[in-house]
Amino acid sequence: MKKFGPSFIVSLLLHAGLILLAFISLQLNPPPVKVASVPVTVISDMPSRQMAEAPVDELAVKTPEPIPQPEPVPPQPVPTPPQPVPEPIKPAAKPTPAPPKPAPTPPDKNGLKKPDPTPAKKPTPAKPEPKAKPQDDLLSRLAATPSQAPTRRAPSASTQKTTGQSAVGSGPADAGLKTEMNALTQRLNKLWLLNCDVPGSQDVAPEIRFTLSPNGRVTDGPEWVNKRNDPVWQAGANLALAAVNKGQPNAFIDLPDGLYNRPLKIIFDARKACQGR
Amino acid sequence: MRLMNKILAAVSGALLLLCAPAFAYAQGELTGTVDQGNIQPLPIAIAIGGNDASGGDLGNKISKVVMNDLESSGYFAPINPAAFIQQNPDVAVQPEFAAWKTINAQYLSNGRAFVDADGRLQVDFRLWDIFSQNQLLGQSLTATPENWRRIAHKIADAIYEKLTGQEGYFDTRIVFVAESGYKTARVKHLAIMDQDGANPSYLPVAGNNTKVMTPRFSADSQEIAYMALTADSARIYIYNLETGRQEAVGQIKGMAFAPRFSPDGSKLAFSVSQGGATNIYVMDLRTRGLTKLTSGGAINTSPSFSADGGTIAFTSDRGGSPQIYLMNANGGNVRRITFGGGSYSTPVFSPKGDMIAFTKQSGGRFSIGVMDAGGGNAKLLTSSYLEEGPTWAPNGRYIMFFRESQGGNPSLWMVEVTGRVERAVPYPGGASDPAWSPRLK
Repeated sequence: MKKFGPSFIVSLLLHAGLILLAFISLQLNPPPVKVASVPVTVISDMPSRQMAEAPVDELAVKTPEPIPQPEPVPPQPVPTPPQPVPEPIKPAAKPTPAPPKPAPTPPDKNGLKKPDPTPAKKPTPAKPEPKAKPQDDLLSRLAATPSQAPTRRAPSASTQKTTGQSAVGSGPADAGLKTEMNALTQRLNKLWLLNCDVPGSQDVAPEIRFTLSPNGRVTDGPEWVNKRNDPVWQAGANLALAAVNKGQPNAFIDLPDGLYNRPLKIIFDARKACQGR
Repeated sequence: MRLMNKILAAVSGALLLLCAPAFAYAQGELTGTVDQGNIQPLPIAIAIGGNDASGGDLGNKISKVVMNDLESSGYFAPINPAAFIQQNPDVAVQPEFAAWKTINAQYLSNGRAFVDADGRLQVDFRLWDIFSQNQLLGQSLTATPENWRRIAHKIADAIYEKLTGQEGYFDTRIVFVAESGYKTARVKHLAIMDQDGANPSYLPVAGNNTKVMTPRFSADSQEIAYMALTADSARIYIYNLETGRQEAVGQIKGMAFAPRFSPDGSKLAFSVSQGGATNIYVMDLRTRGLTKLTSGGAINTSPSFSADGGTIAFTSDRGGSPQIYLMNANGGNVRRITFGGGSYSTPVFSPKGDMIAFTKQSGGRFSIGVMDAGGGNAKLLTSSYLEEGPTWAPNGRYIMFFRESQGGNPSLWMVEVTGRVERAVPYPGGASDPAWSPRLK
């Protein structure tokens, strides 16, 4: 029997190492859990009252009929064509590819009919396809945390200081991306609306995880990571998620290459943003 | 051997292709921090359509009430409906998100108002996060048609709560003193209206030529205690809004005024002026038993219960000038909590009991301020020639008071507890002594 040479053994070891590495990575980064969305708020009926001179109210609230929910759609790698949506933030000029034919529309995640395409009064872009992402509802994924006491804030106008923060990676190759992360955080600073006057709102710091593609689209997430069962935190997280969604695609193109196709976690730190306001 | 090497090369290539995504995923998560942002009111579009039974544009009227409520809070910037690209978005259909993004709406609330077969008004509405393309809320509210404003306020409350995490305060009422006539012959009526100044109406009071002062709501907002001043008496009455019945609070010697209910509604604290001194009493409304809490020759007035009913804040000049004191609900452990220059009066505990609103007079001017429940961190929110009588919104974020310019009529004003938002309450006549109701049920 012919003996195997050194090159064969080395090749075998390399391949085994690759497979082991891939296996470990998959174990550390499991795919996101899909959660079915919940129906509308349930409100009980109230008894009616007789009116006196002052209009004492007779008000009843009933449970709305549940909206039929479609089956959760698994994430599909459908490439979304870049849409020329007019965004307030303009990056450096880059040739934009012509939009391809729109793919068939997947079922609506909120169980509603899509409107018929009608000519708009003003020139508007083609209707964007619903983002293919796991079914997600913030209300169904909250943990408990009490809110904080109020703090006085001086009146302030909108500001757009952009200091950005350095990135923290997990390997030697990420050290060079620390300053490049500033490009993304500076853009998110401009997109993020927040409230510093509601009690507890200046103490929230929702962490949002998402992945960007080079065409500026969010291909995974955005997802609120450090959830709290607190309505003020939930309101703050909604604003952080909106900032990420608002930025695609125009605010997220022309970023350093190292920011694309990898998980990003952004902390929207209201504690710092509200300091001195 | 060559064949084996070729096979190995092909397998290696295939394995590399398969492992490529795993390799990419194996890159570490990159973390960054956003720490500036834009602190500004949230842009929101309100688009509720539909008609009433006679074909009137009820949806438009409801939309205007909702927009006014949200804008008055200082946290929202409603978008002018004239800017809408998508008109009358159907509540049963997903909105055209691109059209709302174009006008920079961060949120959209659309809905439909209609009168059902039973003659009841029904309003279905949804709240959308435009950029996340998610529905945040969906509710259906019904009422008798004349209560369409209450439905609008409840919609505003739901939107406010969802987007701020705080309780709303729009479905509430204000009881106040409506003033008219010359200053030397003022006519003072007991009046009630919605918190936005709509639906004002007079309430009948006992006696003729009665001047009404310091009306206050009970915790369930079904009763109002007020002082009725006539030529020969000053008495406290309790008015039941549901039945219209009024009753005098016992036979009290002297002048009784400044009534205020305990949080559980079982007691009424008020001041009685007798023989040159004014002291605070508490009446058990079930037994009508009366307990005197303060004594001495000073003027002790304006009692206010804490949220748990265990502490009473009041004004006293026992130290030489009007200052704010605290005491236990049984009258013990009296301690002073204001020490700044000027005089302090009309203390009112916040609904949560964490703050006290007050009136301060100093340097010829009046101010409305707030401080911690223990008296610390006092800060002034407003200042003018004459203003006093703070009352809290039920969510503890807004204070209403009355203000009078030199030679002018008194009017109602509202200020946010940080002082950031201050605006007049749109009641056309003279108004003073407001009291804010709890959330209506």
